[in-house]
Parts: sequence; C-alpha cells; structure tokens
Amino acid sequence: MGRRAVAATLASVVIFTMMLVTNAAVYSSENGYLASVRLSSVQVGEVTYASLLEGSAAYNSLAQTQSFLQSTPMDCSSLQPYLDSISGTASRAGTEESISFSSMSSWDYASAGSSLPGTVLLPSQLDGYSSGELNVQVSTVVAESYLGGLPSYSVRNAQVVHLGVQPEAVAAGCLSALSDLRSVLSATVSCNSSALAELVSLARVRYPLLSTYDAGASGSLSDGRCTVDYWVRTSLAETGVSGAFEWTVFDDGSLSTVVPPAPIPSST
Amino acid sequence: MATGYALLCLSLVAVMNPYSAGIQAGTSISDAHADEAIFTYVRTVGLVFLGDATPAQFCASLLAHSNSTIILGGQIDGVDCAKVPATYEGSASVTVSLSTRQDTIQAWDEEQ
Repeated sequence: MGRRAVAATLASVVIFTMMLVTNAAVYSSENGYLASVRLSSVQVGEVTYASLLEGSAAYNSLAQTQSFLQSTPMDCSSLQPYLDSISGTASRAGTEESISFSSMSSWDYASAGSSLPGTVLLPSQLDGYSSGELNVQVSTVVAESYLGGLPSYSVRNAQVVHLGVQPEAVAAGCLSALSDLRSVLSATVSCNSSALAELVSLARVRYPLLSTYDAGASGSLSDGRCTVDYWVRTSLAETGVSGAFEWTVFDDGSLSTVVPPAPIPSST
Repeated sequence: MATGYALLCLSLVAVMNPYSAGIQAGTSISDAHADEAIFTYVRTVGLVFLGDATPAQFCASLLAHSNSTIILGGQIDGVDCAKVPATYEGSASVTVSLSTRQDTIQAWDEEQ
C-alpha cells in the first residue's frame, strides 16, 4: 500500500507539473501574440494618424491662405511681394487613443514647379502642384509615442497643395485694364471731374475687360497741366478650401497732360 | 501534500489563463479594424467635406458609410450622432482639427 501511495503521489505530481508547464507555455505564447498584436496595431495607428495630421496641416494652410486673400486686397503691380507674404506656421499637441503627438507645420507660396506630392485627403482641385494657380508648399513634422514611451514614430513631410486662384493671370488682366483706362484718359481735354467720368464710362464701353472692373479718375490742374489719378478695382468670386470667397484686386496710376486753354469768347 | 501541490498547480493555471490573453488580442485586432475604418472614412469623404459639412450632413454621411460590421458615429459642433451598439468587439475614436472646428469620428467593430 505504501508503495502504491508513493507511486500515485509521484504520478499526480508529474501530471500536474506537466499540466502547469504546458499551460505556462501556452500562456507565454498567447501573451507574446497579444504583445505583437498590440505593438503592430499601435504602430499602424501612429502611421495613419500621422498621415491625418499631415493632411490637416495642408488643409489648414489652404484655409489660412484663403483667409489672407479674403482680407487683403492685392495691388496688381506688386504681385510678387503679395505672394511672398503668404506664409504661416501652426502647431498642435495632444493625445489621441493613448498616442501622444505633436505636430508642427509651416507653409509658404510655392513659386516654381514642384514634384512634391499632395495629400490624398484633399480633392484633386486642391491637391498637388497646379501650374498658374496659387500653390502652397507645406512642411510638417510629426512626433508620436505610445503612452509617452515605445513604440514611437516621427516623420518629416513636405507636400504641395493649391487654391484654384490664378494670381499671375489676374494681375496681368488688372494691369491690362488699367492700361486701357490710361489710354483713354491720356487724351482728355478737360481736367474737370465730369469730363473725366465721361471718359471712364467711354473706356469701360470700349474695353470689355475694363467693363468688368470698377474704375474712376480725378483730376487736378496746376500750371496748365492736368494731373489725372485713376484706378481700377474688382472683386473676384473664387472657390476655396472652405467654400466660396471674394478676392479683391486693384491698381492705380497717374498721368499728367497738357490741357488746352479755354477758348476766349469772341465779342461782337 | 500531493493534494496541496495539485491545488497549487490548479491555482497557477487559473491565474495564468491563456484564454484571457487570446480575448485581449482579439479585442486589439477589433480596435485596429475600427481605427482603419475611421481612416478609410476620412480618406473617402475628404477633409473638405469634414471642414464644411453641417451636423446633419456629417451624421448622414457616417450612417451611409456604416455597414453590418462597422458602425460609425461622431460629434461635430456640439451635435452628437454617435449610436453606440449594444455589443461590440472593438472601438476607436479620432478627432480631426480643421481651421476653427473639430470633428470627432468614432467606430465600433460589432461583435461577430
């Protein structure tokens, strides 16, 4: 009986030990699988959220550019300084689904052709470089980490997006309209406001492009010379990243012309 | 003594339950599915829509892009159109910041 009891005890010890070891192996394997799944999903989450941050930076750069155009009329004879003033920076930080992130972006006017990619999160009307339109280059730096530790992910991205606005074509049209107005005003024989107003109306009838602008002129007489100050201005309906908006462009000029003296009435 | 050892082994087996790790792994995979569904939705509708949509348009869009396995919901301009399913395997939530507004998009991977 004693031997049987010892044998039974040894057998149960072996069996339970085998069961424990097997369970520990499976447990370790499952936990390893769980760790791999979590690591993989966090890494994928970091990459996809970074792409969302980059897309948001591109969107916000266009929204800021649109806001600039809405609030700042363009002097057609100062196109390049106007475009060069289109720039900005933005930064964001926070936590999204246990992923801590920081994003810093900067943008400015892209003058030359660019092969930089756009973003799949914007439609083709805004995505990528478009010749002749208002292109904006956006640089974004994103840094992420999971619960402040690993895995971490950082990326620096440059992309080009655009608004469907044609600054060079618009400036050229504006300068042409101003030139048309000048050509008519230079033949003025009077410096008074009504005569100049008539000439402005005549010019707007004669030149179709000028007819799409508001225009005006005023004169001042000095030493037999008439100085005529003239201007053109128009507001263009444009479509931006956040709906329709108006963009105002203008230009002005001045000319000096000799005005014939008023005829002396003859006496009879 | 053998009984005590057996009870110890059974206790350790109960504590080191591989089944719970498997369940957690399944939940993590479902969370990743929900995450991917959100980014697929954002890529599909685009940021211009998310920046311009009225709350009604946003909610209708989330409903239209939901299916039998993924439920989409969200909040926009204080309007909540999230319909949390009674049971689900995994979930995800992302907030998109555009200009002056924030859209929150949520997804639930429904239990199979």
